[in-house]
Amino acid sequence: MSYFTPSTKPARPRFDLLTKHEEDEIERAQREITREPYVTHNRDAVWVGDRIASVIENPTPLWWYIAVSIAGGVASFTALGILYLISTGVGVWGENNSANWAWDITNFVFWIGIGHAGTMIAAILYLTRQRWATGINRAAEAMTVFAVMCAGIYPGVHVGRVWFAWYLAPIPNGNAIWPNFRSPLLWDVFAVSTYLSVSIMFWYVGLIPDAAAMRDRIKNKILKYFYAVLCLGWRGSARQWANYEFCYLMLAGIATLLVITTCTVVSSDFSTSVVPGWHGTIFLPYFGVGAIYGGFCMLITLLVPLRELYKLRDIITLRHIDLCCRFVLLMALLISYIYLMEFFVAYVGGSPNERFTFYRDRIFGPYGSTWLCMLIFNSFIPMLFWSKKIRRNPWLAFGIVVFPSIGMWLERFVIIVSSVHRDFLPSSWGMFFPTYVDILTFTGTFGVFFLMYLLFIRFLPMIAIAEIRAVLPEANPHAPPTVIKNGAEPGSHHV
Amino acid sequence: MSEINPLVCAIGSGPMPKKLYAVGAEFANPKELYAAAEKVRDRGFKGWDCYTPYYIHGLDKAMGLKKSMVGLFTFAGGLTGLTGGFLEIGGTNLTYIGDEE
Repeated sequence: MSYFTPSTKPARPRFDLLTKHEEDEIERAQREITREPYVTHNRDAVWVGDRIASVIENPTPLWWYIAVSIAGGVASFTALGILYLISTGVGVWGENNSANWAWDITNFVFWIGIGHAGTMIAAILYLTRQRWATGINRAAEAMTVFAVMCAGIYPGVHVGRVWFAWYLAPIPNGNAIWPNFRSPLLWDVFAVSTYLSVSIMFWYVGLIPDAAAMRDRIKNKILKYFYAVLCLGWRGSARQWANYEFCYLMLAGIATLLVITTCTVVSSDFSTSVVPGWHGTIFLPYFGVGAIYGGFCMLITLLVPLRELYKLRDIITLRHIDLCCRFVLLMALLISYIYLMEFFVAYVGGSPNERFTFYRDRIFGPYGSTWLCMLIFNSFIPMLFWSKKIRRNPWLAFGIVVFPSIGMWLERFVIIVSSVHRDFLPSSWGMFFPTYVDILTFTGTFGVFFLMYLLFIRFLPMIAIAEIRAVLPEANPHAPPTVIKNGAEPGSHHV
Repeated sequence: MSEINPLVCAIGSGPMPKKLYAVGAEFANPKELYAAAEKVRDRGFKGWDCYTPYYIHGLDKAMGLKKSMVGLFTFAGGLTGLTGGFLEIGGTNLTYIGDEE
């Protein structure tokens, strides 16, 4: 069974020597080991290019305008929230003496986490030669870039006096004080800014050949110039491709390291403290798993409507949804293991404060219902994905991942607020309640995210055309004659 | 294309121009292009290229291209970043020397 010919029939065994039951078993096994095609319905390279480019070339659909107005309106909540925050002070948020970190850091970790799945798909699955990921990597990387931008809002504004935020950068200032390089909060600054710049670069490098394809085919003059500048004079020469593929490989390697460093640095903010509930070495893998978990949930939320709205069902196939759901399931199991491990470590650690935090406060304390919801949403509901029927039902999967998406936000809230609201001194115990500014600012970030995402799908090819074409069976120069399809008519210069 | 630029013409598209600048050929699929590239390479041609809308695995070998230099550039960039990072941390900490008293 060749890697490139999933549609051809496998060699049949000697059926005359086998019983009926054995024949059925062998047929079933062969069906199972046959790799499903990356692009279904035997579509060719021309169809792939036309269909993906049609999203940009066709007149803008009405729903897009409606969605943009809603997203834009919601995004203004963040702008208003931040304006009020800066003009008045962090007192407009619900933070107080006991819970001096709350929604700001919860939302920061939530958005950073969503970003990680994009890099996971684009870089790690690329390095491990999971070629199905070509179908969704562009959409996932865009999600990364926009989610990290949303995350970046919070450390930017939660420092209180935002006009001193530049103190975070190693720039000489009036008091001759340099940033403390031993503080994980400073590592945050470097990790997040590096992660943002590398994920933009990785996304952009992937876009170059597709921008060239759009430049060659788009009718609109202004957009033609836009793509011509964007594609850096790409010609599609084999010499360019050789350098390009190497460059992509290098960036994938760098991005893979960054996934690990960014989520460990974000978790170090917590684990290097001595606060019970935060002070744990498990936080490093914990945040990594949680990040990829939340990211895959958001990815399914984005992909399912897009493949229906733009009729991309042959490119973002049921297999893609299935595989994303399997990732969700795997991450749900890993995170459940970590939940259990936290309680176990609190037991063997023997610290009365830590035991109190986990056994009393987290389960039976005032935020116990949040913890219970988190457990049900993250550990139990995704177990539905054990069923192949559910994984292969896109709208059902879309509905199910809403729960872990909320659950992952609750998890960050549980970690951050329920660990600090009752500290070592019972007289300073208190509760955190979000104010309307907290709520507006957070709701608004969804508007910011979806606004940027809508602009992205409208003006840039949301699926990597060149990469999809390269995984078609006919793209293999050693393909058997049965799968070879001739491209467009010679002389038509179809791109 | 020949009517636009007489210096470039596709094979079989019309009469050959008097002064030949370049020769182009169009192939229907990667397999044919790959086979042609191997032939051109084996004949020892210089200064030629293949243009494809997507990356074709092994075409660089079929053309006899050398390994890409991008790895070296990446290494140089990484080394610059590493050195810069250490100098930044070390340098900013060194400014505190002498502040102990």
